[in-house]
Amino acid sequence: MTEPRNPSMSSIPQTGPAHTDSSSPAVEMDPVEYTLRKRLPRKLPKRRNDVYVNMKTDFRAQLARCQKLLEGGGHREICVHGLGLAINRAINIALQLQASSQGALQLAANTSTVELVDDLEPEDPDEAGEPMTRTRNNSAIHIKVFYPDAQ
Amino acid sequence: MNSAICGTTMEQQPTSCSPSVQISLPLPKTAGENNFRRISRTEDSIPYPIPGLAADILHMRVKGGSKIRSLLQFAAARMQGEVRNPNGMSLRQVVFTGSGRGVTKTITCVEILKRKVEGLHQVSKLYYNTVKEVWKSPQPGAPGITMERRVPAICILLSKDPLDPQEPGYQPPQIISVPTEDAERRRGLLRTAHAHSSPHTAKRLCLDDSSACLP
Repeated sequence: MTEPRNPSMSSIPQTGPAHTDSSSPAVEMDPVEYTLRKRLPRKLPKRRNDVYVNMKTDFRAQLARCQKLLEGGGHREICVHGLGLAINRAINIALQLQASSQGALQLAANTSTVELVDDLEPEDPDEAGEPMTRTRNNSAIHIKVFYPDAQ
Repeated sequence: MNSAICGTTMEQQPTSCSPSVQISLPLPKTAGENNFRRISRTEDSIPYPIPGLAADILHMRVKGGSKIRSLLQFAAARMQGEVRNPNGMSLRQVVFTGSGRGVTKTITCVEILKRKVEGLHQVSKLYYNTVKEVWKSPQPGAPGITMERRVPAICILLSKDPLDPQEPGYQPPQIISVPTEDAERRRGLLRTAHAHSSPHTAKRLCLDDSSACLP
């Protein structure tokens, strides 16, 4: 989860004059090493039929969980969410569910952007570096897998 | 042998190779120097999975190695009307497709373009892209292997004109308001001391977003 990074080498954007006044001289060139600590994505609402896909759990286990919700759990629709690298897996799960239902299931995919926060902690507390945070964006997908209403 | 090739070329997840096949060791370890070589890779040119599209629509094919910057420069210039079509019209619609490793990049491109060009309606479709690969055996004379893989793919239509809200995968344009400006301001480095208010804003953002993105 953590990876050391030298701020002078990494792609920290220059923040412009708004920040230079409050910072110690030449923060840009400061050789203090920071530890990049990624916070967990913010908590999202979790209903019983929400499935958040990750890359740590076995693919088949996650697929089986979705199948169980749809078949045994009696849900008419479930929502499969994937963030970043897990987007591919979320799509794969949704398509596999659809394929195994012989066309009974429909998919509705929505995309969004999720803001993530990184903490930058100085490696060496004696040096002048101060803890900082940085935000970045990552893409996410939300796939509704549902049985269309018979009409 | 066949399953070994499956193992190395599969995208970690069951695609066309049957899911029950155990992922075997990567080919380099099992076969040493006698690797099969991929000599061709063709993708099926399937029609757009979105109904009712013009044939001459701008189609951005996002690959794993495509640069987001170049894709967006090209698409944004046309959508913002800086570059005109041959018939003098500014572009109304654009389709982004990507498969395999390009899926995440496709979504990122779309999300950025939606922020650059306001008021875009969106329809997203998921499908399997069939990739045909021909592998050549290193031993001369030995037969090669042809295999078909199905990789997950996404196709996203962005349109300035309204689209059918009943279409599965439709997203209305997002009203871009204060939160994004807020995010702009907080981008880059912030001292934690200065960012005291940010947990609250993040919470607020979270609530706003989650209610918007859950269909």
